[in-house]
Order: sequence, then structure tokens, then C-alpha cells
Amino acid sequence: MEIVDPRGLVAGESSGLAPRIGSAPGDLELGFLVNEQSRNMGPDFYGYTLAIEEALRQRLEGVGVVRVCKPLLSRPAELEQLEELRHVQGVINGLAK
Amino acid sequence: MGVTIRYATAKIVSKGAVNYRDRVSGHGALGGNSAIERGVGNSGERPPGVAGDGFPTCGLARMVWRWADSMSGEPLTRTGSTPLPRELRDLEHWLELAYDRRLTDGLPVLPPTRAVVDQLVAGSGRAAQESLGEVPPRGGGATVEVIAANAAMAGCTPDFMPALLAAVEAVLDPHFNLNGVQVTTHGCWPLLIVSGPLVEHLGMATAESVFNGGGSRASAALGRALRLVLWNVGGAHPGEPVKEVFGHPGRYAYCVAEHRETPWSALHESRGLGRDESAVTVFACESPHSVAFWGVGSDPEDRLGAVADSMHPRGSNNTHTMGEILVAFSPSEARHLQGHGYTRERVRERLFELSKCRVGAIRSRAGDAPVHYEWWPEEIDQADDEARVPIVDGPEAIHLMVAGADSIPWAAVCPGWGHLGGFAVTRAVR
Repeated sequence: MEIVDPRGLVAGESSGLAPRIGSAPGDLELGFLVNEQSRNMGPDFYGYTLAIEEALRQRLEGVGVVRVCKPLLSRPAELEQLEELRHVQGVINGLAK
Repeated sequence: MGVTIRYATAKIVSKGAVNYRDRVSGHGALGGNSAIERGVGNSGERPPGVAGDGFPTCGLARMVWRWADSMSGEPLTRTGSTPLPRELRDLEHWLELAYDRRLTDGLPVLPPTRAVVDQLVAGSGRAAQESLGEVPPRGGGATVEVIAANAAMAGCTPDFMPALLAAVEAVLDPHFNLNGVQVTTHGCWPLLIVSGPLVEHLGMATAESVFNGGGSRASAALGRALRLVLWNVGGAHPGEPVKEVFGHPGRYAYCVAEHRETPWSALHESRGLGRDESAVTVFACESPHSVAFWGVGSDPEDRLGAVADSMHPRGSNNTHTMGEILVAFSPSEARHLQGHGYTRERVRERLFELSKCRVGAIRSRAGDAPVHYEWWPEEIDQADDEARVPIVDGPEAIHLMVAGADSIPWAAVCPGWGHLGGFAVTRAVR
């Protein structure tokens, strides 16, 4: 009895993502991608990123931050916003969980 | 160089991992299950400056951030799909395989045998390898054959296929924002509404128990097939990436058909199609909320007031962010309204007005409560507690349908996802 796979192929599914960097060499720049700046429901992730930034500055000399807020929390970030993050060493975004 | 901060969750994406495929994964941010370092708990030290009361400690807000410790970890890779064996020994083998490979959401499913799938593809009248698009968040390719495989698992027959394909095309319309609907914390799910001559042709239920299939194979199988497409091709698995807090019983199958004998124009007619056409409309919404006409007389305004009261509970996304909503009337109530001169258009206009809320009734002025909703119309003075706010984007955002038992008057309200998406999309079935 032959069956048909119901899952469908994912383009590029087998391609690996970029390896994580092994250390933070020299000046470090991080990105924060925030769902919404105004806190209308749930956690204040924007405010939380401010605290994380402060913590990083205390522990990592010369750290820089790029903060991007999505126009609507349920929609993907705009391409232009991702371009703003392309050059940074790491991006942190909140996870509703 | 090491930094250990463990308190809240964050996703960490390593340099170079921001690619455009990731744009359509997860809750509309960077990623769903790719390039992500998952949080592992909620214990440990807090970052300096993070006060216990000012930041989340539970639920949505429980986050664990552990970036620095993991910087030297192994490269992250996207989880692939292990190929299925092409041949099955027997039905028992299939059931174990389906559960083991997570090809079902828990309910048993029929095997998508080559013979059945080929029949379903033939019933669609389209080529097996024709692609309808990629289904988020996983991004699986929805070819006609893959959709037919899920239809086979749901128990569809070949004449169901045109409606199912139209439904898949509808949810993949960018206006619908399927990615968000699939993974949101909110309990909405795509309701598949079938209207027109196809309802009778397929033997769909339109009367008793209409929102749970009414015992009809077509109603149950179409809703189930769409669910399985979103589960298998879209990878909408609870936990990762689906963050739905409570869930929605309609996720197993959520399909309803409109009465052909509506006193109003048909749903699809109100959305620009011809009355004699058949159509599917998808709309992401909560389960139906019952509106029984307790304590009201025959005055249509009084009765619509009862419906409007059910459209704006304080915890509803609609109440705070507008968007769209579905209201179903039983045939007898629709006739009652029409008999008093309340056409579809007039009912929508009246519900739009009657369901408006006082700002002071829905928004707190306490402590750290939000002070401004940027999505509300500019003309609303948000500082005025007496200002009245619409709970949908306009009368046309109230979708009316006629369904249910033709017995006592009744109505049902299905709140939407608010302004976040899941907006109604209609496709003709041809």
C-alpha cells in the first residue's frame, strides 16, 4: 500500500543556518526586535530590552544596540527593518510564551 | 568573554541568520523554529535594573534569557522532515506511523494511499503538482497532491476538492495573515464558511448542530482537511511554534454552511459574488457565543441590542482593537428581522452603532494601564470616558450569515482576532 507524504516540501529545508559566533570579538553590536513599543497587553518587552541593554553595558564594554519595533505585532518585520539588523552580531526578540 | 543573565526568554539569532524566509516564521517576528535558542527555565538571577513588579514573572511574560553562555554552542540547523516509508504493511502500521511522525493532531486519520490521493486530485480538475503556495509557519509547499493527501486523511471525496482548494487559496491570501493566525496566543481559528448551490450538492449540514458539522460528512471532512493542511504542511504544532494560550475546540474541524433559503442576500453575494455562485469564505474567529433572546420583545432594535451586547465583552480583541466579527442568525430570526424591514445592510449598520462602547467602560485608568490605542480612529478623544468607540472597522466588517435550526429565534456571535488579522477572504468555487 503506497502512501503520499502529506507534509509538502520546504524549500531550503536542508540548508543550515549560519553558525553561532564563538565569542564576542571586540566591539559588539546587538539588535532588539520588539513586537510593539506601546504596552497594551501583556509584558513590556520594549522596557525589558532597555534593562537588558543596561545590563549589557555594565558587563560588556563597548556594546552597541539597534532597536527595531514592528509596525503591527502580528505581522512580520518589514524588510527594511531586517536590513537595519543585518550587520549586527546577534538579534534578540521576545517570544510570547 | 562570558555574560550569564538568566531570567527572561529571548530568541537569539546568530549573525547572518536573519534571512527572508525567517520573516514568515513565528509570531511575525524573526523566527518560528529556526535559528532559535530556546529558553530553558525561569530561575536564576535577574538583570540589574529589572524589578520584580515591573516585569513579567509568569505566562506570556515568563522569559528566560540565556545568550552569552550559549555563544559557543553548535551551529543551529532547521529541523527537516524525515521521509516516510513509501509502502505500508497494513492499517495498523499507518496509525502508528501517523502518531509517531506527528502527522495528526491526536485524532486518528485515514491513510493517504496513492489510489485515493489520485482520485482526489482528479476530482480537483487541476494538476497534481500545481502549487497553491507555501503554508506558514513551516513553509511547506501546498501542491494539489499534498492537499489531496490531507483530504484523504480527513475522509474527503473527490467532489469536496474544489471547495478545499479554494479554502486553502483563501487562507494563503496575505490579507488573512495565516502566519499570525496559526501561531498566535489568541484562541481564533479559520472558520470555513461554504455558501451557494454547493452546500446542497455536497450534502452539507445547515440546520441543527451546524457549527460542529451537523452529522454531515462534507461539513466535517472539509473542516478537518483544512486543519490537517495547516497542521502538516504549515507545521502548526502546539508549543513550538503555536503559542495559543487556551486553544480552540474548532481547531479539530471548523466548517459551517449557510442556509440556501436565507431571506437576505447570501454571504458570498454580500462579498461581491453572484447569488448562483458557490463560494468559501474563511474568517479567523473564536467559537460561537450563544445569544438567546431572553427578556426582549419582538422589537428588532431590542433584539439587535441583545446581539450587540454579546459583541463587546471587555476581554474581546474586537472590543479593544476593532477588526471584524461574524454574527449568525437562525432562519426564523432572520425572517423576523427581514419582516420588519431589516435588510442585511440595515442589520449591519444597526449592529455597528449598537455595539459601540464607552471608553470608560472598557479601558482602565488604573496605575500602569495603557493610556493610548494608536489604532483607534483619530476623532475619538481617548481621554474622554464618555466617548463611544466602534468595535469593528465599519458595518461591512460585520459578517452576517443565516444558519442553524429553523426553530426558535437565536443568534451566535463569533469574535475575530481584532486588528491583528484573520480577516475574511472569499473565493468562488469553480
